[in-house]
Amino acid sequence: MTDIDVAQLAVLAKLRLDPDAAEEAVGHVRRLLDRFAAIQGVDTAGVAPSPYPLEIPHRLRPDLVEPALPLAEVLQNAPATRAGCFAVPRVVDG
Amino acid sequence: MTEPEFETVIGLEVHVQLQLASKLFAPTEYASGGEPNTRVSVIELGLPGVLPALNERAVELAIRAGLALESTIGARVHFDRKNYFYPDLPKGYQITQLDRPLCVGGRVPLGEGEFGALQRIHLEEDAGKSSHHAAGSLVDLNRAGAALIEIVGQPDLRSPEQAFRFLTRLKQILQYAEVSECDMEKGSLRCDANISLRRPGAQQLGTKVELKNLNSFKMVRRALEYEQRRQAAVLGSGGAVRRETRLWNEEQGESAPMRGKEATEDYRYFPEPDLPPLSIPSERVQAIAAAMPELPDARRARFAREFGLPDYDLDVLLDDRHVATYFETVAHGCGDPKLASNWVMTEVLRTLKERGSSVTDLPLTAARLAALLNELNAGRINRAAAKRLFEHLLDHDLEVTEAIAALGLQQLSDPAALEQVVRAVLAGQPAAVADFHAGKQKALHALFGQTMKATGGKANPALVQQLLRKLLESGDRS
Amino acid sequence: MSAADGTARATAAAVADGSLRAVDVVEASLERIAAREPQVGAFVEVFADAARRRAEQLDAERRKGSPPGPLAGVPIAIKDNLLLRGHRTSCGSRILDGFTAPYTATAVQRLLDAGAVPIGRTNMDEFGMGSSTEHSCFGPTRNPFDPACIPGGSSGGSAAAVAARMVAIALGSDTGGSIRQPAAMCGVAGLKPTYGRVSRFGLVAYASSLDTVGACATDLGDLALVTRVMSGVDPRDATSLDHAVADFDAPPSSLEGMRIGVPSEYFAEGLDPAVEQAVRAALDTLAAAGAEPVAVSLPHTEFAIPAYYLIATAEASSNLARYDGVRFGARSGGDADLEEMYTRTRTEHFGAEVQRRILLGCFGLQRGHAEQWYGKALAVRTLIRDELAAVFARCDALATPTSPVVAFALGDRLTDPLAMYLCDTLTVPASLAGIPALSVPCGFSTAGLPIGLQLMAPPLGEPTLLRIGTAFQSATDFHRREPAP
Repeated sequence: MTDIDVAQLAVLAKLRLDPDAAEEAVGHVRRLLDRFAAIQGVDTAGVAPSPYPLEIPHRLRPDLVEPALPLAEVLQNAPATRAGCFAVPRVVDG
Repeated sequence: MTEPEFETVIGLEVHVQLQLASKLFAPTEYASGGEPNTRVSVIELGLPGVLPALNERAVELAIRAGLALESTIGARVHFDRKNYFYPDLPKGYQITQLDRPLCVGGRVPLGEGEFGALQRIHLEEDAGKSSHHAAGSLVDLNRAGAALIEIVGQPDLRSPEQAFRFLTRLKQILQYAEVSECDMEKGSLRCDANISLRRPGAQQLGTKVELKNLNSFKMVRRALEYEQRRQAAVLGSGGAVRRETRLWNEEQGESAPMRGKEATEDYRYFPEPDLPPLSIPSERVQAIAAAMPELPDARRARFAREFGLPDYDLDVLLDDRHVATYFETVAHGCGDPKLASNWVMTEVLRTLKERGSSVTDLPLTAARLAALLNELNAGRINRAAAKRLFEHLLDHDLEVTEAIAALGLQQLSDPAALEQVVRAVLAGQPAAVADFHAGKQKALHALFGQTMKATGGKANPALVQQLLRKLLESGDRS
Repeated sequence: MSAADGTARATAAAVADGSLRAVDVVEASLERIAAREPQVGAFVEVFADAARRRAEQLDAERRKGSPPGPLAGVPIAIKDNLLLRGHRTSCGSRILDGFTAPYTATAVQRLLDAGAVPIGRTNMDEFGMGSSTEHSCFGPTRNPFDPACIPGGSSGGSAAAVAARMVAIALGSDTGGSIRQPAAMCGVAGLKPTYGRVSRFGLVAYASSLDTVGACATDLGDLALVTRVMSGVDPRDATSLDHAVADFDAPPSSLEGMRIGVPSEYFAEGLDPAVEQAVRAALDTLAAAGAEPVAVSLPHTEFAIPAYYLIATAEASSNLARYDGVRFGARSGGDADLEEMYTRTRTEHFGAEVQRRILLGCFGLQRGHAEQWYGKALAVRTLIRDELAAVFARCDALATPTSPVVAFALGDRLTDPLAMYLCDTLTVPASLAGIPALSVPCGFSTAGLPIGLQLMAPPLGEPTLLRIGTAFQSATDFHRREPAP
């Protein structure tokens, strides 16, 4: 049985897990993990991890400037703006 | 003083903005200031579908920083995502480097054979800025995505004073390497410090406290001194230091714990899949090393050799790269290094301090100051005139000769006009003329002085000498 | 109205030489959409006006003598996770309510440059997370061969639009099978290119190390053409491959001398007997065309599903952090505090499957778990990729079923995530390894539902896949079978 800290997971994911929802969602996650636990038995000693599917040479970009997005387009999709900025509920400290 | 009760352990983390045209992962101009959200592209906005593309020059400057600080450059590095939510972090993660940083190790010379060791230097993107108001917070993403290097020092500094020297020297080296302007006021250098105390001889580190909101090197020193006292008092009375982040309040001269910071943040780092690993061939590193601008120690040695200046002068002149370059141009231009040094150390640095400006913004260019000193050295103007000229040139974009004319400091070099003056002087000084003819050479000096005085010091001294001799020896005084 | 053989290439050629007007091609496609869409529901938006205007413009340009592109006047449907400037993009999610794209995806721009006409946005599982196109805020798309059944997913709208002959070509994206599996279930061809072959810039990310852009089509020549047009290095995608893009549209040729591996693990328990039968018959067809089938073994295949889901969800949990109600999309709780706004925005606007995957991904990366879950999955990925590479040392390609099952009834697996995930069993290994894979129609179940043959090749092996696929289609007519209206 996989140990899931539901409260911490909700904070990290920024999702509300009310007791009811948590039971369903976390229940699914737990069952999936129980199934996925099969990989724990695979011998991967000395096997390098592959975060990338292929070896792709990293091409770098020259330090050149292109025009910025016009302010109207920067803000066009924002739920709330004020004074040319994105407006959000007050952040404490920071 | 007796053996201190506690040993102080300080570690510094310094974020330095790289001197680039564009941002780290986007071809958007970066410069400080500007109207909010006017230096933003779809990439820094973190819109759906955008991808990062790494700035080649940023890699070069970060490697250059590493070489200047004697780090080992990684042969194969990659980027990682650091995941957390914050309104000015558009993607919900910061692209940084966790386990394969660009530079490993390195050190900052602190003088007298001491060094501050480095853990690492890595590349990462900056966040935007939030401003907090009663009605809510406002987010400006102009700074989002700007290229930073984070320089992580080992926690082995032993005093706030050492921390201050670490920062001063680090800034100097990075400025000389032309990696960054390192201007704290403009935010191109930011510093966090952590500090803990322990009993002398203790193996384990004490509980550390992180200090933020340190806006100048002096503030870093003051905040560390405060924290040193605070922790010593807590520990001295048998208490325990809390592991926390504290914000420094410069006006009150004290720090307070920061609220609202999650106690156990879990950033869930993982390799950034949008950026393949980056291989850095040793030839590339060698080429960057070969193109390294002259670093402070090398320039100091060269100045000592070429200009023969005393240590004190070198300390003052080399502190700021631009001042050193300014001095060098003046010294070469006037051919008198010590004179150049004196003027830069006194007049120039005083002016910069008074005006709070950088030498690169000074209207009086090094070439002009050299021309000014040439006039002084050649005796064509005296010291008082030179100072008047200096002040005038600070506020007027004029060549030295133009300023001399504007101030009426130009010397009298017209032989006919000057001859009239000399004749008048000789006519008014019959005794001295007689003395001269009696073979008293001193009389000539007196007559020369009188002539210069009569012209307000503006007469061409060589011409005056010549005219005096001619008129005295010919006996022609009409 | 379209060119004689109905292929996009023939249409483009006719538009280019003036024998067909782009406006008429577009009008024919719009009529076809109007007729079939009520039953299928492939599109979330049809760009009728914009498509007509663009077609008029293309016709005008041709008359002025501008050289027409290889896709001149060809209507193309675009999966709703590829951005097109000035149009909505919603990824089947309420969280992108009201989002208008201020830029165009590189892959789409290349099609525009080639003269294509975007005809609309196709339905998909929310953020590509699903195998049935049921997880969409717009409701499900239905299989043109049986409206009671799912079309597969997540590019179900694109596959269904092609199957119903509304368009000749539709763009999709494939992270774990999202082009191949719906292509198989809808009886069309679908190609997942090599990872990095087509730029991901402007593709809304689900799992960055697995996401690819590709297409569905009925004709393999069309599929080759559209893939070639989209392919090539993009300075805005650091993971795009800097390889010359050969002409994928190889002339049909014999498969003489070609070795095609048949991995036993792909014919394991859970495989629908009808699928197995059709695929075995397809292998015989390939053998008859000259290929030599080779029995091979890929023992880590059974671990591909856990590895894939742990990696994909980990990346997704990070990729979907930007949907925070600050800069674009939906927001709830804007009057509350920040934490509340984040939580309400995401809880109220992400669907259940997306939330499940974000939770799973956060879990796999959590301190204390990362090594055991995410890290382990990356190591297993290495084993899967390496064993595929070893097999490719002996074979030119692999042939397997695309999906273990044919299209199932709507709602059948909706409440059982694991059952849904198992639909991807045979497609995720190619995704983990970044290799190209093609699905071509190879038969029908007794209920008349399509079955797909999956072909896999080493990195950059698209020409091999298309060559085998073309040989297969020249010997069969499954790809010609249209669903009854």
